[in-house]
Amino acid sequence: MSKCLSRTSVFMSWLVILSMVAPGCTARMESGTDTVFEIESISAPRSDGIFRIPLMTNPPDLDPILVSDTTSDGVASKIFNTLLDYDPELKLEPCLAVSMPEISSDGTQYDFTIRAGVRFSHGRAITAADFKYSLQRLASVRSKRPNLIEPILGASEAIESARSSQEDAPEIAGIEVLGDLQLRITLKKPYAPFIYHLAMVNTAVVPRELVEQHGHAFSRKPTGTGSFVLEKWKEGTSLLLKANPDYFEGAPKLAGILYRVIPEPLAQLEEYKAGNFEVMAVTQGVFPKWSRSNRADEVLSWPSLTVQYYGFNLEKQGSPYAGDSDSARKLREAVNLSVDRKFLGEVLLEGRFFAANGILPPGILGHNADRPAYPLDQERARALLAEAGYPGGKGLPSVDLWFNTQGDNAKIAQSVQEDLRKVGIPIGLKMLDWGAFLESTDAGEPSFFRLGWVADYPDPENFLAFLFHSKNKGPNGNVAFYDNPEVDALIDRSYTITDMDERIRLLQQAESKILDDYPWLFLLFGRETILIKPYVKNFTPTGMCDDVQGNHVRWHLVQIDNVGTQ
Amino acid sequence: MVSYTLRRLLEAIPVILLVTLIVFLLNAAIPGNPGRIRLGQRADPASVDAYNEARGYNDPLPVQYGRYLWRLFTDFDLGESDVKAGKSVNEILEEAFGVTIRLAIFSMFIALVVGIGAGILSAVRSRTWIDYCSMLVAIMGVSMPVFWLGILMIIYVAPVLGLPRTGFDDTDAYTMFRSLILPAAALGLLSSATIARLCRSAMLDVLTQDYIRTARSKGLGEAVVVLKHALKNAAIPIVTVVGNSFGYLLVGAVLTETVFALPGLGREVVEAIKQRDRELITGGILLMSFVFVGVNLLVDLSYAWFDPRVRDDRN
Repeated sequence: MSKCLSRTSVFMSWLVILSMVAPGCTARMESGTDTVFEIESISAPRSDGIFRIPLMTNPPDLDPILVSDTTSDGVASKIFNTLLDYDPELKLEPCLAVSMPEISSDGTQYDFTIRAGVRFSHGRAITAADFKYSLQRLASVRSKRPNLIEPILGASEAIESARSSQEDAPEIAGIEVLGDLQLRITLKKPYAPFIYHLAMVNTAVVPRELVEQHGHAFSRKPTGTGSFVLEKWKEGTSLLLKANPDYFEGAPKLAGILYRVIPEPLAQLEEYKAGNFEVMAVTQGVFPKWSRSNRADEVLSWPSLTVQYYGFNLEKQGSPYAGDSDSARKLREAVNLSVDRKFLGEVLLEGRFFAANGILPPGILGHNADRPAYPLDQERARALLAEAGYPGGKGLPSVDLWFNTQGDNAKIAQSVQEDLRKVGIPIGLKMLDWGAFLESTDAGEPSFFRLGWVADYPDPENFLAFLFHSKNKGPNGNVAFYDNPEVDALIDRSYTITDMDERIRLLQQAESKILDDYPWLFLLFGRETILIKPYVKNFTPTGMCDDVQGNHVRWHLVQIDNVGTQ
Repeated sequence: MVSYTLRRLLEAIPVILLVTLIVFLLNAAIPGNPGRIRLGQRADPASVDAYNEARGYNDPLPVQYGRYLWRLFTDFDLGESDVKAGKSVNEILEEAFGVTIRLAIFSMFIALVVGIGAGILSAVRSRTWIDYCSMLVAIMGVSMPVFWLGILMIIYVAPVLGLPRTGFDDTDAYTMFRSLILPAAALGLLSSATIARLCRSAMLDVLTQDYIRTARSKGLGEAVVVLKHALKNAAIPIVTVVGNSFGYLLVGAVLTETVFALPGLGREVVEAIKQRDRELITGGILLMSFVFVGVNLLVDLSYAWFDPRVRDDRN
C-alpha cells in the first residue's frame, strides 16, 4: 500500500506543481532578437455603448465637499461641473462660467457670469445662487476641503463658527450674488492660485433643494450638471452612470459608464483580456509584457503631475542631515548623488516612474525641462562625504528611513539603502502603516522619510508653498521643516501677481533655491500607464488624469468606435 | 432543552459585550489619528481636529463606549460609516452579510455533497484506488490556497463554462447563481477536503461496530446500513467540523471575496480596518461574534438530535 501511495503521491505532487506553474506560462513568439509575447485579448467593441472601467475600491463619497480621494474624484467629475476646467494643455478655461473671470486690478475680486440655460440633471436651471450655496457648503463642519475657500473674505470666520457650533456655517461675505447669473467672489488679499480651486470638483455646483432633501445621503444620490448621471450604485460591486442627453456641451457619445469594483489586479486583467473592460490600470508585471507583445498598441502612457521624494527632517535633533550647516548640506547632496534613479524608474518600477530633476514634474507650469535629472555620481558623493567630515562614511551615524506599507515603497527603500551603502552612508529601514506613518511625520519623529505629492492643480505654488513654505511646517505639509525666508518671500510675492509669466519666474527662482539646499532626496516623477482597447476614441488624458479615472478628460467626446478589430 | 438553549443565549450577552469592549480598546490602541487618515495629507490640523470633534473621537474612551452601547441597546444602531458618508453601518452590514450568507450556504452545500460523498465512498471502498484517489484529491484540496484556486478558476474554468469571472449580480436568481458558482466551488472544494478526510475516518470506525454487523445480518441493504445507521452515528465529529467551517464562511471568506470581487462581509471589514472606519470595524466584528455564537449554539443543539444520549445528559 505504501508503495502505491507513494507513487500516487508523486504523481499528484507533479500535478500540483504543474497547476501552479501553468498560469505563469505565456505563449511566446520570436521576432528577431526581441522576444515578443503573444497575448490573447478580445478587442471587439460592445454594441450598447457602455464604457466599462474597473476600480480597486468602491468610491467612498460622491458629494463634492467630501471628495478627497482619486476614485471618488474620477466618478464625481463626470457627474458635476465647476466654474472652470482645463483644456488638453492644462490651461484653465471656462466651464460653467461664460468666460474667464474679470479680475480686479488688486487681484482680490473675481466676477463671473454663469452660462444661461445649463440645467441640473433633475431639470432645474442653475443660477449664481447655486454657486454661492455650493461654495459656502465647503465651510461646513462635514467638509473635507474647507481650505479651498479660506482665501475668500469672511470664509475663515465662517469655518471657525461652524466648527465651534458644530452647525452649518453662516453666510460668507466674500461670495455675492449680483444677479441671476452674476457671481462675485472677493478675497481677503490677493491669492493668485485661488482661481485653480474653482476647477476642482470640491467646488462643483450642487442643487440646494436635493442636498437638503437627502442630507448626508446626498453623497450616495449625487445630482449635478455633468455629462453623466448616476443611474445605479451597488456599493462595493458596481456603479452605472448614464449619459446626460441635456449636457450643456452636447450629449455624450457614450450611452453610459459602468464601473465595477474588482480589488484583485489579476482578476481585472483577465476581465480586460476577455473584453469586459475598455480600460485597465497597469499593475506590476503588466507593462513590460504588454509593451513587447502583439497588443502593444493597447498600452497608453503619459507623465502625471506627481513627485516621489525622501525628505530629511531639517529640525530633527541629533540627525547629521538636519540643519543648515555646510556639513549637513553636503551630506544631503551626497545622498542625492548616490542613488541610481534610472534603475529605480526603468527596471525596478518597470518604466512607471522616471528620474526626477527637481521638485516640479513635467506638465506643471515652470517645470525646467533643461535641467538634467540627478546623476548617479558615487565618486563625487564619496568626496562630499569626506568633506562633510565622514571619509568613507566613518563615524556617520545610521538613521532610519521611514516609509509606509503601500505600493512599491519597500522595494524602492531597499534599493536606495543598497545604493547608499555602496558610498558608505548607512541607513536603516522602518515600515509603518499609513495612519501611524502620517502621525509620526506630523510630529516630526523621523529623520528621513518617504512621501509623495500629487498635484491638486498644475501650478508650481501647489508644490512649493504647501511643501516648503515655513508657515506650513509640520502637519500643514512641510514635513521636512524647511525654513528659508528667501523662498517664503518669493512664494508670498507670487500670490500677489496676476501676470502668469512673472509668477512662474518667481516660483522657478524659489525652486532653484530649494534645490540648492537639498531638503529632499529628489527621487522620481510619475507616469500613468493604462491598457485601453483600440476601438476607444477621444480618450485624451492630461497630467491631471489619474490612470483609468479620466479626471478632466472630456468624457462627452469619448466614444466606442463601431469598427473594432477581432 | 429549552432551558439549555435559553442559558446558552444568556451566556452570549457577556461575550458580545466583551467583544465590543475589546474592539473599542483595539481601535483606540492602533496608532494613527482617525481624522488625519480620513482627510489625508492636505488637511490642516484644525480641520482634523474639527473632524474628530464632530465624530466624537476627542471624547474619553469610556464616554465613546457608553454612547455606543446606549445606541446599540436602545435602537440597535451601529452608527454611520466614517468612510461611506450618509450610509449607516447597519445598512452596509446588511448588504454585505446578504452576499456572504448566500456564498456560505452555496459553498457549504458543495462541501457537504462532495466531502461526505467522497468520505463515505472512501470508507466503504477502503484501500482501493477510489479511496486513494479521493484522499489524494482531499490532500490537494487542503493544501491549495483558496486565492490560487480562485485565480485558476478565473483563468481556466470560467471561459470554458461561460461563467462570469468576477462580480456579484443579484438581478435574478439565475444570474446570482451563475455569479456564485465559481467562488462557491473554490471555497466549497477546500472545505470538502477536510470534511471528506474526517468523514472517512469516522465512518471507518463506525463500520466496524457490532451494531452495523447486526444490521447487515438482519438483511438490510448496504445503502440503508451506510446512510441510515452508520452515517448518523459518525455524524458528531463531522457536524463539529461543518459547524466551524460554516461559521468561518459566514464571517466572510476574505480572500475568496477579494479574488472574485464579491462585496461580502469579510472584504467589507478588512477594507474598514485598512481605512480605519471605526464604526464599521466595531459593527462588523460584533456581527461576526453574533454569527459565531449562533452557529456554535446550533452545532451544540444538533448533537442532541444526532445522539440522544447528549439530550438525556442535558435534561
